Amino acid sequence: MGSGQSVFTDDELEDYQELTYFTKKEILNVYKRFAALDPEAIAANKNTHLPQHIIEEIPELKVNPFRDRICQVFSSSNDGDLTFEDFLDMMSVFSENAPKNVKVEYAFRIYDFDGDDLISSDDLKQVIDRLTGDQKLPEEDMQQMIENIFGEADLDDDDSLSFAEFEHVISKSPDFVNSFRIRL
Amino acid sequence: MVIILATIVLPQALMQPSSFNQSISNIRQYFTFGTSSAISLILPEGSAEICQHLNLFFSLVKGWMEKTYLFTGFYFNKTLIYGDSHQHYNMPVAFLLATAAYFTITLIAMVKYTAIGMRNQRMSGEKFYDYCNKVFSGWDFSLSKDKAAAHKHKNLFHEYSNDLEEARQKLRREGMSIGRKSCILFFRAVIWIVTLAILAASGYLIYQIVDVWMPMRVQDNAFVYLVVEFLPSIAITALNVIVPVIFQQVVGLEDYEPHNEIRITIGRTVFLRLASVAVLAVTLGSVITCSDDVRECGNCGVSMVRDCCWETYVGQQIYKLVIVDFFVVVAITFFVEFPRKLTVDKFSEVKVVKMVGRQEFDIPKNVLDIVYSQTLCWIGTFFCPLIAIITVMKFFIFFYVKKLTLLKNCIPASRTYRASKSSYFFMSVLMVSFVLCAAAVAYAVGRQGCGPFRIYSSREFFMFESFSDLVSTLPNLIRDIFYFCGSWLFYVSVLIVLSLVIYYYRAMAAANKRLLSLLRYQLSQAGKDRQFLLSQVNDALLRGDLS
Repeated sequence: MGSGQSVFTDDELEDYQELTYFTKKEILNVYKRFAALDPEAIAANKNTHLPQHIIEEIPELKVNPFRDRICQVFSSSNDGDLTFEDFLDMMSVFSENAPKNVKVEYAFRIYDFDGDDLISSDDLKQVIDRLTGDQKLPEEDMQQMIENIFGEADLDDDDSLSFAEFEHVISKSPDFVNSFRIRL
Repeated sequence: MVIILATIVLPQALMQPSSFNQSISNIRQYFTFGTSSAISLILPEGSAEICQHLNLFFSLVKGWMEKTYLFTGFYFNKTLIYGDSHQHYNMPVAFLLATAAYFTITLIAMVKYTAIGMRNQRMSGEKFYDYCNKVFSGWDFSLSKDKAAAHKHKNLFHEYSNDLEEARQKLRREGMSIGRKSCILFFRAVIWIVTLAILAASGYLIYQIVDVWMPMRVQDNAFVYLVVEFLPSIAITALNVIVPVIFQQVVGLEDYEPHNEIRITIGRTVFLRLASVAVLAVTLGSVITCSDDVRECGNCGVSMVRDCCWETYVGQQIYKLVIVDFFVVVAITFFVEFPRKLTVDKFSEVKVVKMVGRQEFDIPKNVLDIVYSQTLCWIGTFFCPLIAIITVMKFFIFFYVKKLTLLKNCIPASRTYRASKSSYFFMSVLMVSFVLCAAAVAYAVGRQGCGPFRIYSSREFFMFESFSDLVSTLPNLIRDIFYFCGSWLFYVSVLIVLSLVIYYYRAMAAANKRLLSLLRYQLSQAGKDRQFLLSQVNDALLRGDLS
């Protein structure tokens, strides 16, 4: 823990530990991974913004169809560039210790492509498109899927999912916690 | 798969402490009633090495094995007073209590696991949000390899297409004409009759082998002797391999919905496996029940069944079944799946080969294999105590062999496997076999005994009497407690209390369900309120009331 320890003061580590769901050791591990992305820039200033395309290169995010949304959501400057603290925040939400409601909240923001606090049918279309990868569902299948999802989840029939409806559905899902997880 | 393996091996490993461990030297242990932990050590009479016996397995004449630790018949009876410590070790009671203990521990472990599964299922209320679950929890965020991601994309695509196709088929099925429906029903009835006939034929085959062919074995030719000895086990294992393949092909003709197809195939396979073991047990029961002559269970020198300890005989049969099953599964992995992979790789241009393709890793079949081994273990441990240890070793080897074949020989299943839903189903299969085993062992306990119960070989003495003898020697208070526990009053009052508890929990569950629907209604109303207020704000803005 030699080089990592000297970068942060004890107070900073305490703060990070309180604000995230990590232990001190895990925080230093996250720092090591972050610094490895661009060692000179980080050595110069540990609060630099790393551009989005570099963040997306890490193996844990490289194959994720939602990687650009993840970077957008966690970026404090709203342009997809992440500082170390943004990165730490992101890894903390995806860790195993994060409680379910935190994950649900961030999942909603990731799936809400246009950022209007509602998952509309356009958002859903994009989600399903990204999930199926190279093979695209035919148009009528896509429409049917969207209809089915709204039929299950949309309780007030406004053709979009609010956060409350999303949470209601996702918290019943047994696979959610296991799938919404990244290990560094 | 790993989770299921672990949770089934875990009850088995929990049971391990209660199995009979060997110790070469004398150990001073006193087995007390009060301790509910299932540590019971059996003191051996001699100091033979068990490992040697297992290694020389194939070349051993069976008769010699009867006298080893492997089988119940060997263990000595009643009390062993040894050394200068005046301590008694009550062997028969140890046997009974260890059996009861491991059954109880396994039951508690399974019930706990099922309760968690049931809680997850119940939590989703009456509806299971299928499509939402598949879309929003569909992607596994911890994937980091390109190949795995590509495979996942493909899986999700197929899953969505298949689900929509199933929904369309369902609509089509409902709109079918009466004539077509009755045609399908007739076809299904025929196939059900065929499967039942296959099951009955298998049962009859096993019965024939045990009852008719076994007593006809010839002693002089050692090889033929060995083969005939193993005939029941070979037959059962062969049936277990061949018949499920038949079932899988046949169910395709029946035109069920896809998820029902899987369930029905698994149900039939489970029934086949349990039925074959049950038929074996019943046939053995009829074989060993002799008519009038009182059996002498003194010296098990001759291996004709009526002259020997029947527990040893039953233990032998089950032991053979376990061993044959193990070898067949390992052999299939190495001699069927590996060559299959080689042929597919070498001759990949040949159309037929491409059609057959590489072996898919079939999760339900492998889980059933493990459930079957566990069932054999439960039945067998009472008759052959070391089956517990053998089964643990077998599971370890299975795990690594299956892992090897999964990584090298097989392609992942093209159908997504929802572990959360199906593990509950497999656990209930395990519970069913557990109940059957417990019933079988309880029946066996109530009969005349041999081995540790050797003193009681006269007709009127049963195994359980050893327990009651011990109870009557205890101080008065404890004895009274036991007598009370055995009386009717106790059972009736326990039954009443349990029914009240069940009724209470059912009432709570019903109330919670009502609360859930009320909250859902509130949620939808909140949405409508928001829309209403928004429209009001819009109107106000338009009218210019708000600046």
